[in-house]
Amino acid sequence: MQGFILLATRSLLADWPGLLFIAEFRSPLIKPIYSTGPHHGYRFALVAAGSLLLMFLDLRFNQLDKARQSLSYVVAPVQSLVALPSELVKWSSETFSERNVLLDSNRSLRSQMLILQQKVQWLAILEAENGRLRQLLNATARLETEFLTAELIRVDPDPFSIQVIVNRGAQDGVAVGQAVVDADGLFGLVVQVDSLSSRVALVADVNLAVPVYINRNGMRTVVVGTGDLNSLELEYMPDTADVKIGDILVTSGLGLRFPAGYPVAEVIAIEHDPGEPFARIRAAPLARLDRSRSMLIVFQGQKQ
Amino acid sequence: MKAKPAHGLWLIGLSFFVAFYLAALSLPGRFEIARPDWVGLMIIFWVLIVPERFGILMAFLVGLFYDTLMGTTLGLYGLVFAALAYTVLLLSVRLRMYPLGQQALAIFCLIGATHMLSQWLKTALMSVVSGEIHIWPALTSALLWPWVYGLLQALQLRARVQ
Repeated sequence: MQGFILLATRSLLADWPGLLFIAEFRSPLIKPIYSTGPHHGYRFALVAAGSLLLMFLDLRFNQLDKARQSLSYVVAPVQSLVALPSELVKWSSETFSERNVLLDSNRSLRSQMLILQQKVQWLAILEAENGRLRQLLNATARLETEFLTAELIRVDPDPFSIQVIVNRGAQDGVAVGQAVVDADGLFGLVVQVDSLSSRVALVADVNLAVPVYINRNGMRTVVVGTGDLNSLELEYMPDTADVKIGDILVTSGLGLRFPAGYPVAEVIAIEHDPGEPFARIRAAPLARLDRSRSMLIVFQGQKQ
Repeated sequence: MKAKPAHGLWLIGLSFFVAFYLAALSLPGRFEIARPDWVGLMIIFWVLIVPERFGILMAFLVGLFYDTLMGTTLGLYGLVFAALAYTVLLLSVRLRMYPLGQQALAIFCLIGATHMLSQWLKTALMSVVSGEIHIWPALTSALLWPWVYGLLQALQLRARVQ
């Protein structure tokens, strides 16, 4: 039955140009003086039924993703045009900046790189040691993760959702459900993939919740977005829970959505209200949600 | 009786490209709520001016592209814009007679209803938590209507869209 519906819509979609031709360009032959009449009602009923069917198929199955991706090729120029002014500013500030400023930044980057390389040396030793200890404990080894860099193209115009569009899409192998991190912490989750771009819901989005643990004592909890870029909330924490201001929340990897071990937020306020069953705990996201332009899309456990 | 040959239809495409650009442009936080519904305005204009070229099905197609731009469920804005085009078609005789101010008043109602419908569909289908402020986009769209209408009509006459 479902297969039949899919087949029918596919053939309908394949016939779109023909359908359009009949419906739109033959009607002037009748030459109505005023363009009202029963035929609009029929046409609207057809279109409404078609779009309801489309919505149903899009929500229930993922076969329509291909159609969406091919439609997104047409919209891609608009998106790149939106990003153009900031790209221009970036390009001109790079092109016309003074030589000594560039030299300065180069020098500081070089020293930063030295420091990071020194840390990487330690990391190799620690990783080996960690592996040995895990073997001693009979624990499973950690998964290797791979990254894909992505640049922010534009911010979602819907005032009620906190989402951004990044410049990597299905062509780069991005898939729905991948975590996105920036230099400081967890940034968000890929919620939709087009052919050349994809949509990332930030951790501050109201519709996103991240399973985390408190780095200090390992207590597991869930941190939920509030719609405010600078504040997340810990839900259903009992008043007696061991949480302190300044605690770092790290992804626990439970729920298999987010990779384990990325810092998410820092606890900034704890309120105990005797009238409420749970404590009200707020945390500030560590990722620079309103400033980061480049971020990393995490591939984890998908190469298995 | 022969149908008029198509002419200047590129202007319709261009106007929608600009409308999509304006719809996708990010605005400073507070103004985001009051963003005029550019694409809705374009649909109203073209349905009023060339109903034999731009009708319900074209509005539906534009809606599908808008869905991919906005990341909503495919067909959501298709339905919304088709409903908008249908309403405009039903009202078109009266709307064409109205002076611009009265037209703007009608557009206030139309865009407001459009936003309400899209919000209902979004909350019903995508379980999106969102606000319920529809009056601002409707208001800014209505205020902009005389200028949009004037500009587009001048362009349309020059390009002889038919």
